[in-house]
Amino acid sequence: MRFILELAEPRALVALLQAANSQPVELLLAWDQTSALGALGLEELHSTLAVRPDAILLWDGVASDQELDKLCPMLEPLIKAGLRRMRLADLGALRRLTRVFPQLELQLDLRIGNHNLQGLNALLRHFPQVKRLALGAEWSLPVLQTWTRCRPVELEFPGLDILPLFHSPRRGLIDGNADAPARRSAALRSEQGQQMTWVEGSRGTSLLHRGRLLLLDRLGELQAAGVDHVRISTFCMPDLASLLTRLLNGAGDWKEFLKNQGWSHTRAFSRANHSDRQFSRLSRPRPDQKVLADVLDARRGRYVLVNSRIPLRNGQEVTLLTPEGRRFNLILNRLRDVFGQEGVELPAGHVLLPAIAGVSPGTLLLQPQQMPPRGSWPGNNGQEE
Amino acid sequence: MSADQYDSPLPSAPTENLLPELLAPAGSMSKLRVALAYGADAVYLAGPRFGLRQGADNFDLAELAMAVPLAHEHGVRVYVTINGFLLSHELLDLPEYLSLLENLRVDAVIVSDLGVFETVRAHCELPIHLSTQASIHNGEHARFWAELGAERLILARETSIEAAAAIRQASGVAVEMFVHGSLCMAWSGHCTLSNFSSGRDSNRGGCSQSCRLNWREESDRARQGAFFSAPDLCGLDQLPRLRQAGIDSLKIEGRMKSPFYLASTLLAYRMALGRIAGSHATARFLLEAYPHRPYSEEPLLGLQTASPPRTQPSPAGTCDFIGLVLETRGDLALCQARAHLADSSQLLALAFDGTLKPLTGAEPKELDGRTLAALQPNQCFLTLRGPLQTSMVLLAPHALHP
Repeated sequence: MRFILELAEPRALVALLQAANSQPVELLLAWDQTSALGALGLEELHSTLAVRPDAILLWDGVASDQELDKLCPMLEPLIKAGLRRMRLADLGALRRLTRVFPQLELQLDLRIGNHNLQGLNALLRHFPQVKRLALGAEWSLPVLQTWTRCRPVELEFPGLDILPLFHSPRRGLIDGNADAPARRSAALRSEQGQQMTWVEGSRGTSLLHRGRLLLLDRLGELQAAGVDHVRISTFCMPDLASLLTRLLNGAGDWKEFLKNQGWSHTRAFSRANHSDRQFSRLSRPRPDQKVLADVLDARRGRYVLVNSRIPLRNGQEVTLLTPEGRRFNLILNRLRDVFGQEGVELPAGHVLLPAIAGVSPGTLLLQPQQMPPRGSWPGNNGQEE
Repeated sequence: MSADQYDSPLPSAPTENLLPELLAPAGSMSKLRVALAYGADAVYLAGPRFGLRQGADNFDLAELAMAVPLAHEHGVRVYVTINGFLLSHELLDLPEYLSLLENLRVDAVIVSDLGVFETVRAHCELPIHLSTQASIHNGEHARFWAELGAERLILARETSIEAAAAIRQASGVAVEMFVHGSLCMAWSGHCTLSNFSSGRDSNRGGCSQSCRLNWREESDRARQGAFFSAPDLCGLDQLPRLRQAGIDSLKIEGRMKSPFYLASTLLAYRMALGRIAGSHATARFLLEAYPHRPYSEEPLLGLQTASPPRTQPSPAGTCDFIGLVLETRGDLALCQARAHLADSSQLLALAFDGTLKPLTGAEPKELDGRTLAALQPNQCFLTLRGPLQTSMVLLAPHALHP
């Protein structure tokens, strides 16, 4: 497993470069023309590529046709200066670069929108130049482990990184000043108490998690999960840069560094998402049994109005499932339609039933299933009121 | 009518010689009926899984089996969303679902993920529309999906009409654009704010709209506001340019919004497209009738990077949504109230031609004949039919009820 150091700002660039040159560390360069948060200028790119032509240039934004047309010629001098590797987040940019610069080795940023092996394999069929996938913090380790068993490319995972949550093409969102010349940032707090860092640069607005993702003390886990490269970002933290410089030069101890760091960090973020429970938690309950009707209105002691999907008949047994999750069986009788028509069997549609205790709008009438005897349900005996 | 009776496919989406398709959200069965009644050309909806609006009611499989033939009976196309970013193991469940959708003869599926796209191509013949979540911003990207066989591209909401026309020309594929409804401030498909603030993955159906919250700057507490809450898109005034650009489908956002929003918006755009009688002013009135955030057309004009969004207060609308007509028979109408209304003599019906019809003398009664003093949410009631028709929206002017 190798480290990859993201260089996004001219500050501390020289120190970090010196540190990186003395260690087997890869470099990721965030250019202000191609990266949402990058602030390296063309001069810094040229000077870095002169000593590290294996550095990777990051293009992590989406691109319009105009940007593609503008940026591709701008890349030519960099390629002449030795640039061999790029990381992309836009399929259009990927397609253009494979055609214009077929010699480039390409890597995928997570923002390219691929979240499964099937999609990754399809991308690799179309773009065989792709050698690596850089994952983001929203990937959980269990999901990562399912990938690494059959991964077709190198995988990179953040070990110490900012957590960008939001990128907008707009500027001036906070103060209405869309023409502020320099990069600006501020700490924000929401009405619900969440804290974020707002950063505005030439390419729009970003919101960052207040804490940095820190998994440097979980390297063993990452390695066991099959991660090939661990990314380290020093964005907006020059102190961190000098600390890392010492560490990369072997003049410090990672464990000590982690113990004494004074900045806010998070570890749980990568494990908080991508849970199947999200689907079930947000959806209304999906019963296993066939839904026959749902209750639209229930007047205590008087009637229940249901919207039935199939004809209902007197004597038919159904299971009721209330919004609170209670189930009980009931035999339908005295059915009539809302316009006063009684019948042994009524067609699908709006049907009135006699009052049923404990039933409220949203209750479902289901194909019956084997239930405990009536009377065993607290607060409801399954009988009509 | 059964699904088997739909062997011949519906006409494909309009070409540039025709009016663009007006595509409406259908967040539930009752909203689908509203969309059909108020004149949608096509609807998009989600089944029980794999969609991006897991907070909406959505459709279970039995409802889907009813919804598709019902829509086709009205000549309305049905597009089913499978546009969450699915993980590898979730794709294993997809073929069975696709087979069901194909048997139901849905008109297309909406996907955003290459893995999902490949799975659809491998297991069925359903046409594929690329979701806005695929973040298509340029012709190269569009050509990639066109070469793979996408039949329509739903462009990122940040795309201007001019860029959309260029993308359409570059790819040779039909394009769909959002013309009305909520916008994201972030690049389409690139926001994980909800993951952080509520532990719900915004790209997998759980967006909690954290961007709508109020935020304040910690070093300057006087500076606060809903900085990241985007205005609502309104493309009504841009319809001539959208038509000129050959945009194939005009999409209305809002599967979780009310039937009132759905009905009014459909009517307004149908009026502006000349499909039903009504002036531009009437269409604008319909769009101002419901509460909304300040309207903006900046994304359609390519101006979203030029200026911060406008920050006027959100208009409260001129009418409140009171209820929906569920069924009519003979002289009676069965309705369901969705809000409180003390004085039912003020009820108005939003007719399918966009006019407002007063329901004078229609005294609502409960289903066992008792007279209703006031309407309460979820209460169903009978009233004289008068101008009412099934799925018609009931309103009350603002000033007339608490």
